[in-house]
Amino acid sequence: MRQQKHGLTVLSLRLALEVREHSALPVRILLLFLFLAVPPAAIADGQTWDVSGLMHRFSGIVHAKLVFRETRNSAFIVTDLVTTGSIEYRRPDYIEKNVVSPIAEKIVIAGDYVSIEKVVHQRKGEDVVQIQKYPVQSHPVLATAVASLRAILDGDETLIRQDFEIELEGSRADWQLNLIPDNPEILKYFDRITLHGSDARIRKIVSVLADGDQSMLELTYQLLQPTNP
Amino acid sequence: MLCILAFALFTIFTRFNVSTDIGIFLPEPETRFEKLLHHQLDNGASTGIILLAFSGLPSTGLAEFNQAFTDKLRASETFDKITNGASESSDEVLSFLEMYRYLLTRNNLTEQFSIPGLKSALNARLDELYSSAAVLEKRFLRKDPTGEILDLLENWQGRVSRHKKPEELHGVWFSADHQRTLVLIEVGADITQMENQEAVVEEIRSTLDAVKPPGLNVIMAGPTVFAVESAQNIRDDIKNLSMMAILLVVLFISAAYRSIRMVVLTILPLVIGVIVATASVLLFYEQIHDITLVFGITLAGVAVDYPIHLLTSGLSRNLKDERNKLQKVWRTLRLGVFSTIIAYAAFLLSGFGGLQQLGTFTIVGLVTAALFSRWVLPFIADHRGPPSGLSGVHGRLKTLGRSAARFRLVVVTMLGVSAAVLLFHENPVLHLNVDSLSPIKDQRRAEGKMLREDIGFWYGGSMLMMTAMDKEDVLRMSENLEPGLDDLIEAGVLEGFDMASHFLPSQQRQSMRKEQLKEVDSIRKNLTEALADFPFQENVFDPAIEDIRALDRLETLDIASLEDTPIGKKLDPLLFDFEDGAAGVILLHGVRDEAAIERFADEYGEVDYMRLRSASTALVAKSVNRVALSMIACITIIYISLSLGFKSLTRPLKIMVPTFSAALTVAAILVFSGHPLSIFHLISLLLVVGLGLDYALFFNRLPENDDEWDTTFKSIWVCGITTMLVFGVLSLSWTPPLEAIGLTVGIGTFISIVFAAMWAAVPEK
Repeated sequence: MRQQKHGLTVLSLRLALEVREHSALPVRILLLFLFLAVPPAAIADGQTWDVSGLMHRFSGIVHAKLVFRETRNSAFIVTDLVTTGSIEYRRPDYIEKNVVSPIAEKIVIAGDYVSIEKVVHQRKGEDVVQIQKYPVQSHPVLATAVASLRAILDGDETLIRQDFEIELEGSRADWQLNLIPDNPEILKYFDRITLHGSDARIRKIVSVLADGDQSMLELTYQLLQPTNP
Repeated sequence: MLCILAFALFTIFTRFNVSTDIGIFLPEPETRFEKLLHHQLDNGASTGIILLAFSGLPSTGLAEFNQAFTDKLRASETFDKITNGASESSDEVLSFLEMYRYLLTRNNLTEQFSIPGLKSALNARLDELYSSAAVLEKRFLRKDPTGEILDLLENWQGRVSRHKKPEELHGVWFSADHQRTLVLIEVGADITQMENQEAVVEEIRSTLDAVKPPGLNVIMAGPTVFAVESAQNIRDDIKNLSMMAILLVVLFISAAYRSIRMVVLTILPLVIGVIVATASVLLFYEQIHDITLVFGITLAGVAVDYPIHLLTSGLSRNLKDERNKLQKVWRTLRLGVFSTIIAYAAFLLSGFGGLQQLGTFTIVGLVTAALFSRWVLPFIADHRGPPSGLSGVHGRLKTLGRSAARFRLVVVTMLGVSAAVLLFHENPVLHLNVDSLSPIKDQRRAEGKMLREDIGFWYGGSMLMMTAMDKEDVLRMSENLEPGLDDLIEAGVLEGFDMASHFLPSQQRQSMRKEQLKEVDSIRKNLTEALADFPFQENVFDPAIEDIRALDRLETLDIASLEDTPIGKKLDPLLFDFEDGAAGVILLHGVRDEAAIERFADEYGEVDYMRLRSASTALVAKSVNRVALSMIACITIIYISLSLGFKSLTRPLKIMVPTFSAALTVAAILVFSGHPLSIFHLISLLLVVGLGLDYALFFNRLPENDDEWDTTFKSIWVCGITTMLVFGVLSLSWTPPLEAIGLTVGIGTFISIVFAAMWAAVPEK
């Protein structure tokens, strides 16, 4: 007697559900985390040259500002993709990566949230700024990434070693710190992350992505405010 | 009599079919608009959506429980889909969109694949590669240079719903304040039948019980859950309250009459009346609404009065005397029954299925009970003369009754005061909201709303509705409306909209898209030329060209073939069979200028702008008005029939003044105390009028002689207290309509008796 039942209100709900995040947010955060491993700056003379010493330095930063130049290669493109912008860190939990050229995109991790702000080209009409905000806890990989990042900033070596193998190679004048994920979730996105530094400064970070693409990040310090200079 | 009874019982056993649809309490739809509204209200009520929220534990514990619970529930085949977080079937949707992107797209493909179109698209693709946030974009890059899949995804999300997506913590959904973790269940089973709904809800409950840790709070909401709950509440109410009412009535009548036989005889006409009434509703309407059943039994409860009157005042040891007395009581009673039936006839005229059922039920029940009381009872009663019991109470009430007439003016005064309250009080007099018909408690409804908001339901209630010959026609219509709606968004009239043709373009449009991509070679040439300005690898878009070449062999999608696919399920609520043709719904998000949309709808013939809330309020208002009109009509009829019965134009007033004063006083008390009158209150007032007339008629008989005064007076107060007991018990109901009825009639009975006593002439003594 009754007709087949439809739920009017169900519709947009279904829409909202199925299209959920395909954007693989964790990857961005991990990339960001690389940039942020940067602030550790001065490695003072006379201190022991090992991972713990480096970590100790990492924990001393209160406020840092850097400019970066990132070069990436992609199988789809004949030339390299170059972006430039700035990175800022403020203790205890504010981290910002601001890409200014050739596209505009800003990623901020503050407290329990990650937000991504970018300019979206509308097919009709003007470009609009779109801001998306996610709780850090929204996805296990994201949560792991942010935790690792904060572990490095806090100089918490034990915590980092939970997800990565750490190797320190080379001389003080030309050292490199290898981070090799042993968490399978992180391995889905990264094969290896390497920080290069000389003496007191990190010069560049190279990361090899799971799909074979590579990224190289070159850094210049603008401001560095350590607690124990 | 026995034959009728046997036939009635047979009908009940073979045809018993209870419905719970509240649409039955709305007037029969007349216009196309009302029919569409009914469709929406009806189907909304049985939608297979269940929302769950768990709270009361730390978020990690909640997330863990959510996961454990949904894993367990997913093992069952009952549920189509259980969602508690990340995209469950997104891959299915994505591959569907990937496969049919060129048929489904809303973009003009000739433009997209022209040289300027391609240049702008390639620019966007390059930007995406620069972003560290473009994983999905990378996945489809080689197959989709013009970004059709991404555009489709954007459309599929709807601009508003995306903002309302629940947050995710520890891999599962949470409310924005992180207090509640959420689960959405889509029931696959056919839930048009009540028993299936109950099975589904029961399965969720037992699964919950099996894994539920202490301290966890569960909220379950959704139309199915509410339907099951109210059915259970009503069933419990019937069981508990009717037990309680019967017990109280039995105790009271045994006390008043000191005879078990009397108790049985008092209840018997009612029982027989109810059986015959149930059978006749089933015969006439094929099913009986649960509220009809409960309300009907209660209304028919007045029938307890009939044996009380006849047995109290009509019995005598002397057979001849008894026949005489019975005839006298019957004359009054007949008038009472007749006028009560007239009052209930208003239900038949009300135009709603539910009330018509109720009217039929009550009229049949009362007539059966009255006839049974008059023609069968005296032969099985024991003829010891007027029964005695509770004589102390009787004595005291008698004193009160005799002095009541001193307060005659109160009746008239209250008539004026109540009318003034109803006219001038700032509280609304009538409850016109469609919620007033709902058997669901306000608090539960608020919880449902909260969960809908948590999960991000479309909740605007604004839509455009259109009808056409068939579904293809509806799709073509929506395609024609689309540019106009886009303009309205541009003009700031609304934020967005969802329509069927977003998900499935008409066959005509799909063929057009195929046509637009027919010249593969020229597309390839355009692409090569556009690529010259970009650093893309030369053959990076070869997979796209392959797909375009294969497009010829891709069948266009039609509605029938999509039934069980993700797209088909999305279309269901937007595109459906309606009467002989089909109808479509366009959901409107963030409407800012209703007048502009009204104008837009007016420009197109077959399109209606509908706000679910105000439209259903209008529908309810219409039915309230109709009830009010029927009430006026029946008052007139009562007056006429009383005039004929008394052969006097003024005597009916004697009966009617206290009755209407009582009804108005009850209405005024309800409104004054913040209970605007719903349809259920109005119906109850009608019952109060019916009862009041009875009392007034009998009080009016009193002065005739003192001997009769005594027995008649007793029968009146026994009737009154019985009624107050029954309806007092009903006011304890968990179901708002029943509570409303109980309260109104309980108070009404009391006031009716008091007013009738005050107004009646005092016996000369």
